[in-house]
Amino acid sequence: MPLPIGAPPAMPEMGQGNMDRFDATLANLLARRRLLASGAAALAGGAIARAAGGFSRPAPDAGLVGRPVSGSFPQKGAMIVQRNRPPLLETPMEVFNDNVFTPNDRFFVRWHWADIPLEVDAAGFRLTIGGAVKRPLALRLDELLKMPRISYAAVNQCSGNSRALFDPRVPGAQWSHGAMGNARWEGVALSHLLELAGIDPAATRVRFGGLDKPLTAVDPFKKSLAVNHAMDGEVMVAFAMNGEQLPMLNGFPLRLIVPGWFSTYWVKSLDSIEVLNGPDDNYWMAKAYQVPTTPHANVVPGTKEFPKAPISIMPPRSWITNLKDGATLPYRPRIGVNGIALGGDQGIRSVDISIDGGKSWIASRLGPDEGRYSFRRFSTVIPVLAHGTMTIMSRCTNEKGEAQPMAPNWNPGGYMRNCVEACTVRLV
Amino acid sequence: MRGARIALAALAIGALAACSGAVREPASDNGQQAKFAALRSTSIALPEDDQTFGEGAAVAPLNAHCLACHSTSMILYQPQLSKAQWQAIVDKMRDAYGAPVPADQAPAIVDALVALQAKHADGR
Repeated sequence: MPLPIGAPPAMPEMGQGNMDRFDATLANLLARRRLLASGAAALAGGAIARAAGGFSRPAPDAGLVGRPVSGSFPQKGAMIVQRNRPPLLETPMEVFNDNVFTPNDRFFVRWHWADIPLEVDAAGFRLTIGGAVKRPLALRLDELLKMPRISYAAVNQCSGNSRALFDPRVPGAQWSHGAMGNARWEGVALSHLLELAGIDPAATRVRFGGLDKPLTAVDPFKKSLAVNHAMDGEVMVAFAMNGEQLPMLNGFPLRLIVPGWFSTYWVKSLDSIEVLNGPDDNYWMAKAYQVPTTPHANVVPGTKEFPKAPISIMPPRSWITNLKDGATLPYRPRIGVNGIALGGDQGIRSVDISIDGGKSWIASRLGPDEGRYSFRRFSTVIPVLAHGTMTIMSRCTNEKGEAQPMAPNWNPGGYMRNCVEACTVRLV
Repeated sequence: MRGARIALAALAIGALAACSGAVREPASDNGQQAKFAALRSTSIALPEDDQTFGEGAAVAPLNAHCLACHSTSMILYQPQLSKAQWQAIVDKMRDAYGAPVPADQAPAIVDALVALQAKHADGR
């Protein structure tokens, strides 16, 4: 049978199993195109103008505009579709104005590999714990559910959140600020599981893998933590998110929670825990998600070579959520400003507001404290000095005294933006 | 062999299309008991993603080599990138992500990416 679009090239050096999987996925794709070519697409005026979910094709230089908002993803409400397959779904900013916790059906989604889990049989699922341990384990979900539980609120933020705001721009998923969310997680402390397995005294790191798989014979997505971190009693194997089981796209049935650290470590659909006796040379720890070791992971734009380290702790951030950047509002002498702040791996000491470009700051009132790793609301009322344009900034300082810098950072990966963000409104 | 696979895949896609975006979760009968006495087996179907870069020789390398692993949007939403940046991305796809692209076909992909962006930048 002739293929409508280029046949997959022969790759004799690849394992047969992998080639089969790649072939099957490619065949799926080609079959879909063939169906379209055979008539269905003719309805769309000849061009393949529309896929499910109203996905539309924007210009590649569309910047922050032009991303379709779709409610067509399973277990998800309206989300900004950065990529259909594998899904990259961003939370619209207005969601963060509604509640300090992000609803599961609005929580951002990010997958690396094409082969993501779409089905999990709860009875058949096993979490394996192996490597440098005395007693390798294969735990059932019902066994995990009977273990002692821990629970806390924690922000899950993509390493590349706000990447689209980098100047000069950098390649990668072009997230605005919505590659983040805050949830109350419930599960079993990782330290409890590692104690059950009995880790080797010489163990160095603990590595985590999930059900998502590459289609080709390359390193699967795995991340690791130092043993001391893994044993801190806070890192969690979570089975619940905001009081419900996790949506499939957020990592059902189990997700690693690494509070205070960027999301790249929060392995989704976690099914393997491996205790290592040496360094982790997997691509995803050794090569990917590396940031400059300079303050704020900042280097001169265009720099390619610099001392690097795997990304880790989140720095403080804050966002005004009740006013939309660029909005025009009727004039009033005073205006309420509120939003959400994140301390990183610390609680929040203060969030201050500036209306003079950062020369002076006004303290805001902090909302209820849901824990050091949670979003926390801030609010204040500020004077409006005159009709016209007004730029409002928020600056979070965390409990260790680390404050958001005024200057944006730059690095080629588009990681760790945490500068003070400006919200400009017109009051007429 | 491949023909049979494609036919099967077409059937599977047809079935998926009927319930695209649907979630099937068996009803839980222990809702009154303690939370998370059990987790419910779950399966999902993702929305269709049948978009290509269109027809013609200019985009054929992209249709052939990029879309098995990700949708067009991954490329279309990138900011304006230099040829060297596109080259680095194609190298990464081949080396780190194992894209089965022979070395002699990589330059055509890079050229197609640069041309695609130039075309969009021209507003055509």
